[in-house]
Amino acid sequence: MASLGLNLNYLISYIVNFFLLYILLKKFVFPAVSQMLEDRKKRIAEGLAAADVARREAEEERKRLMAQLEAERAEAQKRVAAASAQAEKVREEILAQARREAEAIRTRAVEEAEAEKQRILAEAHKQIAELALLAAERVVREGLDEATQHKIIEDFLSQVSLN
Amino acid sequence: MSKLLQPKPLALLIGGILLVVIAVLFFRVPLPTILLPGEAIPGWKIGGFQLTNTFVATLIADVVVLVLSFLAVRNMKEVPEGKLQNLFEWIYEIFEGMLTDIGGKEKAKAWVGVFLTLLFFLLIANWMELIPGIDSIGVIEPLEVAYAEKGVTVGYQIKQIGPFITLTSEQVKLSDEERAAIKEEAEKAEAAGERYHPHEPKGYVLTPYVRAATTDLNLTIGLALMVVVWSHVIGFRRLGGKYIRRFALPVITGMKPIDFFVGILEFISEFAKIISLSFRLFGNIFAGQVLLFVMAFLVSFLLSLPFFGLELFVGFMQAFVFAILTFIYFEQATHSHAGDEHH
Repeated sequence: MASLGLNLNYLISYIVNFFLLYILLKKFVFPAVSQMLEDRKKRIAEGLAAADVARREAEEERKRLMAQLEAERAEAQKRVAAASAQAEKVREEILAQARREAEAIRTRAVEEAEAEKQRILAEAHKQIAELALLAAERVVREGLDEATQHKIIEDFLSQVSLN
Repeated sequence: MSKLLQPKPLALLIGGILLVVIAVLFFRVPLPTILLPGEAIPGWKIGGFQLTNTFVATLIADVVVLVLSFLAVRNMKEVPEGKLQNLFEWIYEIFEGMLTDIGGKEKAKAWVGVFLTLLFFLLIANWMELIPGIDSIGVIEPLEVAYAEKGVTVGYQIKQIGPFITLTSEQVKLSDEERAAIKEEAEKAEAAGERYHPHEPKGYVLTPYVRAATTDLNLTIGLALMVVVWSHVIGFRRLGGKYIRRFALPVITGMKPIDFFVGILEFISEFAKIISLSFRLFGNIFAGQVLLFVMAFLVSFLLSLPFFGLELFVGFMQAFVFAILTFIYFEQATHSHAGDEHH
């Protein structure tokens, strides 16, 4: 035993030495570390939970805003549709009005033209009658032969057609 | 091969070889005296307690462990600022997790303190062998005295360098006649009640102030003994009477004969635990130290470098093995044998 250096005093003093070291560390060091780790774990868990809640809230807020936006967009679309329908109606009305007016103008023009034609025809009749009277007068005055009659008539007719 | 021929590696290679050649030819160092017991440092006594260099190392290891751990927890912050706190927390968490894997949360929490104390203390104690100069600074005394007290037969010449005295690499050996003469003289001196001192020392030996604590069997056996006894205390406190049953003490009736033999084996295994724990640690570290001595003795430069790396690893491994086995023994002590523990 002596050649191995075994010595009860040293052996016991080493054990005591280790126990002292153990007690000091156990009392002052390990609990502090363990406590710190525990605290940090708790803090991290809390932080994560809080972040989770915040994220969920943000998500809800986003959804709410999106819904709102969607509703507004639909509203606007409705309004635009209404406005364009209105415009279409107005256009139709305007078109119809224009068409009506155009029709009126045309009708009046036709009527006027007809009236003019009637007037002119009436005038022509009057002139023809006068000319006929005139021709008859001349025939009566000159005592007509066949050939002259024809000539007169032709003259007359050419005059008429000229008119 | 072509990589070696480039200028830089080539220069390193040649430089290394040159260093080795110089070391072998001109720069020999003495082989430190290799002794199994922790060496008493001459003249270092506190009361009646003779300090050995392994005991000094133990105290240093205590101080280092305490200082480092107290620095780590002195000013703890939720958001760690010091690296030491970070390191400490990291170590704590890793090993607590490891112990939880082995023995469950409750046991890990209960014994992580023992585990870490053992780990830290043994780690520092083991790694102390790696500090350069630790085995070469100490007290020089005559070879004759060393022979009379410790049986050392090989010493060295000394030489004065400035204010320091150093051993040279010139070996001195004691012949058989000299040994007999020294023995006689030492006995005479002891009978006369005075300390033996040779008139003209033939050589000298050096006793370092510090030697890695785990190279002292007293420490390793002491710790192993403590661990095993502690595990029994734990087992008894947790299981009560059932714990004794595993050792087949014939107190309990209704025991089958086979249990008796199993009990004997259990009994032997408890001693085996002490032996294996203590000698594994001691053997590894002591052998590592001798290895480093011998490598430095063969070639004083470079050669011991890879072995330093090896010993760094071995030092950690042995500390870890000792600590984890302690935990496992504690854990095993809480299992009762007959399967009557509800799972």
